[in-house]
This record gives sequence, structure tokens and C-alpha cells, in this order.
Amino acid sequence: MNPAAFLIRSNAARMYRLGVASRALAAIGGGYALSALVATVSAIYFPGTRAEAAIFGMLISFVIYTLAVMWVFAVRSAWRAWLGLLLPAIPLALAVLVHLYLRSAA
Amino acid sequence: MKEGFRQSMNWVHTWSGLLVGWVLFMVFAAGTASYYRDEISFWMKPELHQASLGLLPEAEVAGKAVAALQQRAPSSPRWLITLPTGREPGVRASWSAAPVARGVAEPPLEHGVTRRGRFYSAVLDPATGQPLAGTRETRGGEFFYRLHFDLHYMPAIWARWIIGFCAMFMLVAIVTGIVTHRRIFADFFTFRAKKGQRSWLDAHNATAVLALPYHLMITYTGLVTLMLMYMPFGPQVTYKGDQQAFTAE
Repeated sequence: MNPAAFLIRSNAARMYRLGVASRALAAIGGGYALSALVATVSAIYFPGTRAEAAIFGMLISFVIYTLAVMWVFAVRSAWRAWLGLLLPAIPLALAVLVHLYLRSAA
Repeated sequence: MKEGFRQSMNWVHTWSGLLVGWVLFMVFAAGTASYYRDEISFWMKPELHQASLGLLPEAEVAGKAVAALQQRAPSSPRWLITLPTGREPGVRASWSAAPVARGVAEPPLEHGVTRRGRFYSAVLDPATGQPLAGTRETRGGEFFYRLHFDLHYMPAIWARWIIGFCAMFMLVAIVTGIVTHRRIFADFFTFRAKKGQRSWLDAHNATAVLALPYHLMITYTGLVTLMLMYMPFGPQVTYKGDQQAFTAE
């Protein structure tokens, strides 16, 4: 008998636990990555002086993090949670890469 | 997560609060105590009580401190003198000194003077300008102040990341708590006593909503205070690592 049987009663329970673990990872790691990207993009593209832009990005990043965590646990499945983080992250990451590329080219 | 948005947010509220609340409780306790940082230090150093009896004219106290520094560190590039206040009766004098030559032993420290690297400091008696040597070595209220963000029991840098994580999920707990709460205004005036868990929940709602702006403020400012450590990427990219330029602007 599986010694951890008292923990994992059924396949459904196991799936539920995996889902929670996946979402926790998405919330903590993915949320941080997304908010870091928002902070960086804001520092690059926000109008105003670059100091204002950088500070605005840092200030808004904690709000983005909160919203990301809420999103991750609000949606129907863990896959959707990851997808919802990935979709905004892709254009943001591209925006950062474009900036770095243009700068190195200049 | 669960059926419906409110239920899911309620789940997040419970778990994020439960998991980080323990650390946060210590941070709150230490932070509250450090409002009285100077008073706690003063209370813990009865040797200073005599110095607080009469506040001498500032010019006289400053003159004594300058004389004391002139005597101990005449060639130092920098002196710092903090005059006594109602909260701190001693004169704090600090100075930096040139490093001793290689192989030469460090000169012995005068009683009452402490050293950290090339930086010396002492608390002087305002009346005489002499170091208060008999003062017991306690960090007093300073302990709680550092405990609030350095946790004392581990390297400070780890502690700050742990606290940042806890503060971030406290922000999550607060916001999910708000969105979970359907009748936030009406419930504020609701208290059902002697109903077991229901009473506890009502009390939780009332106290949490009462101080809600304060809770949001302390959480967010806690994160913002160390935001350059938690979210350094923006300035890193736009300033190319030129930290000084960012600080200057």
C-alpha cells in the first residue's frame, strides 16, 4: 500500500493538488516575471523623464503582480492561468528585446 | 479554482493570509515597537537618565563635542555630531579615520567608543563631552527596528526577500479580501455575537475594514521602500547599470 495514500485518495484529488501546485507556481513565478516585464517596458517607453518612467514602472509592478495572482486563481483551469500570463508577457518581452536590439544596433 | 469568482478569491484570501501571516505578525510587532525606538533604548540604558535631567544650551553642548572630536580625531576627513533631543539625551559623535598601515596593530579602543570598519562612534555626555563609558551594551529599540525588515536570525538579504514575498502576498490577501466581500459597507455594521465562527468572521470583517486604508498603505509602502531591490529591471535596462545616474535624477 502506498504510504502516502492518506494524502492522495484518488486520481481526482491528485489532479486537484497538481492544479493547485501549478497555479501556485504560475502565481509566484509567473506573476513576478510578468510584473517585472511591465516594470521594464514602462521604464523604456513611458513618456516623461527616464527617472519618472522607471519609478512609475516599479510602482505599477506590484499592482500588476496582485492582479496576476488573482487571475491565476480565478480562471477555470491551470492551463488557462498560464496562458493568461503568457499572452501579455510575449508582446512585453518583444518590446524589451526590440529596445535592446535597436540600442545595440545604434 | 472554486465555483465562481468570489469563492476562488475567498480561497486565495484564506491561504495567502494563513501562509504568510506568521512572519508578518512578527514584522508588525517589531515595526510597532520601533515607533518607540528611542524611548525603548533610553529605558534600557538607565546610565543615560542622568544626562537627560537638564537640557544644556545647544552651543555649549556642540562646543564640548567638537573639543572631544578635536582631541580624538583631528585629522579625520569627516565628523558627525547629533545633538541631544527630548528623545535621545546623549550626544552622538562619529568620525571616520584613515586605515592603519598594513601589519600595524589596530590602536586599542577607548572605553565607550565603538568601531565598525573605519568608522568610530561614541555617545558623549552633553555636560562633559566625555564618552559615556558605563552605558550597557544593548541595541535597545534599534533591535526592533532592524528586526522589522532584517529578521535578525538570518542574513539580512534573505530576510528582505522573505519579507518582500510576505508583503506581496499580504497585498494579494487584502485585495482578494475586498473583492470577496460583497456587502462591505452593510457588513461593517453587523456583529452577531455568541454565534461561534460567525462572530469571529464578523469581528474579522469589522476590524479589517476599519483599518483597511492603513493596511493597504503599510503593505504598499513596505514594498515600495525596497522596490529597487525587488524590481530593479527597469532602471537596469534604461540606465545600463549606471546606479549613480538614477539616484542623481
